[in-house]
Amino acid sequence: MKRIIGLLFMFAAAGILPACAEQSGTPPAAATLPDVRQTANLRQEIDQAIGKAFPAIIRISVVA
Amino acid sequence: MHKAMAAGSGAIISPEGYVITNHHVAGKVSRLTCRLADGEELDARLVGTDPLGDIAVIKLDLAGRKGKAGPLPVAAFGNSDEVRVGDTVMAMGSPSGVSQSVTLGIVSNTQLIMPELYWPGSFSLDGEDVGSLVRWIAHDAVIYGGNSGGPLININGEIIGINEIGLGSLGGAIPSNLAKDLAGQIIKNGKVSRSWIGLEVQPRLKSSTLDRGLLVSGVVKDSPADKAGLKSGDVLVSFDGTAVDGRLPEDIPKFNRLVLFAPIGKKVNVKVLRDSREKPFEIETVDRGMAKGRDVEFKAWGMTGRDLTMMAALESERAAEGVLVHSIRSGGPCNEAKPPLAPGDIITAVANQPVKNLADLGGITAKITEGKTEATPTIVEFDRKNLKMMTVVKVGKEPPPDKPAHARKAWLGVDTQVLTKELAGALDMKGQTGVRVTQVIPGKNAEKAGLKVGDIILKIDGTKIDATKPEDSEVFQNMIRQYPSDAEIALDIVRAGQPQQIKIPLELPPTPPSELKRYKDDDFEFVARDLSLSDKVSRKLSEDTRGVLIEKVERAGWASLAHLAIGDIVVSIDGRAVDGVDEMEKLMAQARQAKNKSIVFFVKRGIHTMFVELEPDWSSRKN
Repeated sequence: MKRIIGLLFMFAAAGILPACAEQSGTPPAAATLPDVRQTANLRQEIDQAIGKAFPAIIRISVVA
Repeated sequence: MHKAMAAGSGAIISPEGYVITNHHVAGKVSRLTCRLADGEELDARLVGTDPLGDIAVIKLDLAGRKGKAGPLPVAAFGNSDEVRVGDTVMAMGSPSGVSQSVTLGIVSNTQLIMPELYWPGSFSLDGEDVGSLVRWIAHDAVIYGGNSGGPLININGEIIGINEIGLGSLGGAIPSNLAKDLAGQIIKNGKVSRSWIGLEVQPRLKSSTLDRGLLVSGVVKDSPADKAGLKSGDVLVSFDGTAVDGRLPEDIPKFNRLVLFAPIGKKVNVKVLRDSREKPFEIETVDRGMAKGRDVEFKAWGMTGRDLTMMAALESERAAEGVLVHSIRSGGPCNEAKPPLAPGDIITAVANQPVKNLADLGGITAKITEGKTEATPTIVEFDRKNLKMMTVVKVGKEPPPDKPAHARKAWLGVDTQVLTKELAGALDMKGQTGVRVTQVIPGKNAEKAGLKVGDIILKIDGTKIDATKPEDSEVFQNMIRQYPSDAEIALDIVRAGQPQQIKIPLELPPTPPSELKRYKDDDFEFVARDLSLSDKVSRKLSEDTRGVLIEKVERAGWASLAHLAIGDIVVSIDGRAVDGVDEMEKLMAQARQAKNKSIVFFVKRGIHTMFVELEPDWSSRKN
């Protein structure tokens, strides 16, 4: 049930409200805040991960 | 030996410059060049490779770093056992050889195998079934050819896999715990050692009533498992104190890892279910070695060969002695032998001396070819499946192909086109036959005598030139060739509508390109020849232009890697003018002796000039 509600929140954040959500009266405005924060966090985490690993990645050219 | 250039990815895993990548990227290479994230380029050498795990370790040549370079960035390993479906991951590397790329996805499966339904025959590298050991981490971060060897990282920036395969839109990465273990062994020992017991297993049959154990599908004859008394149909329930189970194909690699990573020479206790009873056995593990040996090129034979490993010998049901012929060069000594050798043959004796391995063949070859300038007919004994065969191979330098010299006949330094009926009509010369001058070779007698482009030549010494159709293009030159080379001829010509006569002394033709001196460089793998007159004329070079023409560049050779191209004219080498191939040979010999790190050719390419920097790897030079 929690997962369904979570999905509805995501749809709401993206401006897509399935018909069932409208019928059940889920308030879309309340869903936007946590999703925006999650997106920002993910971007921050990705930046940090790239910062750690990316400099050590190399291209290898070979003659076989 | 066929060469190819390719690109893959890797990750620096230690400050000393060790890099983890795939065996299929770097495991069988003659040369490695790495570009770091900041664009710095370094050479690298192969430390060791493991085809079964598809992991290789290379080491960056840190001595080649520029003075201002800081410490190497190093990536850390994470714990792949903690990876869960749905985890956010990133694939890093150089797809298609682009500089660098990061893609984002989630883990879709932590135990990916290649189902037989879609992957019949398994994923094999150098005879090793990678899927027998590896259960990949599947993910949807986009990867492409060139990502191979690059890491899959988690959201903490840690390596949790080494990207290896792609199944449609799914990528597959070797779990980092396995990759890290293999890389550690390679760094420590230069190779991965594994145990073998000769036991083959499969998941329990669907009809089985058992709820545990792995079904023994086969036992290799004379293997440790065979000697211990195990049989097909036994159900293995424990190996070296660890319970084993196999209901699904995904369970097989897990068991294989237990065997492969057991210490070599260890007496291992196993338990099987036989006739509904648990029975203990003791099996002594042996060194497994590689499935296939490494290819070695024998130029004097025109072939590549391999040692017969224990696994290869088992597969072919013979002792692990002899040299397995892997490839034959078309037109080479082995190919020209009667009967010719063929891939798959096993050389067992040469010149009546036994050949047990590559070292034996190398030693005998050195004796045969020592001090010889010509090939030596040599008796070779070899096995072709069950046949014991013999042949004679001319081992040694192959003679250059015969190039018949052209007879030198009289020549006039012009190019012409036929005065066709249509052209004659258009030029108000209806009924006339002959040729029109299209080019006058600079500096030659025709030019000196005043012949010009556009002149219509009608007669030679009063004889009409009977050329009216494009097919008659050789008529004029054939008439010239009938004269002695020191003869003087009178040409009746028409210039701007006015008839004239011109006397021209004939001369010997310039040496044709096919007869010019050539220089073949086996280290840099190119062929150059002296410039011909036609080269100079066609390229609009002055007659006193000096240089040599590059006629052939072997793919992936040192010259090719430096982007030397066919048709280039090498004007100078390391700042010293190259007048011809003799000079080039001398300069290259000096560079070879000095083992120069780089050799700079100044070349002319069309209207452009450029410096081409050749960077030889003298350490890999073949004898």
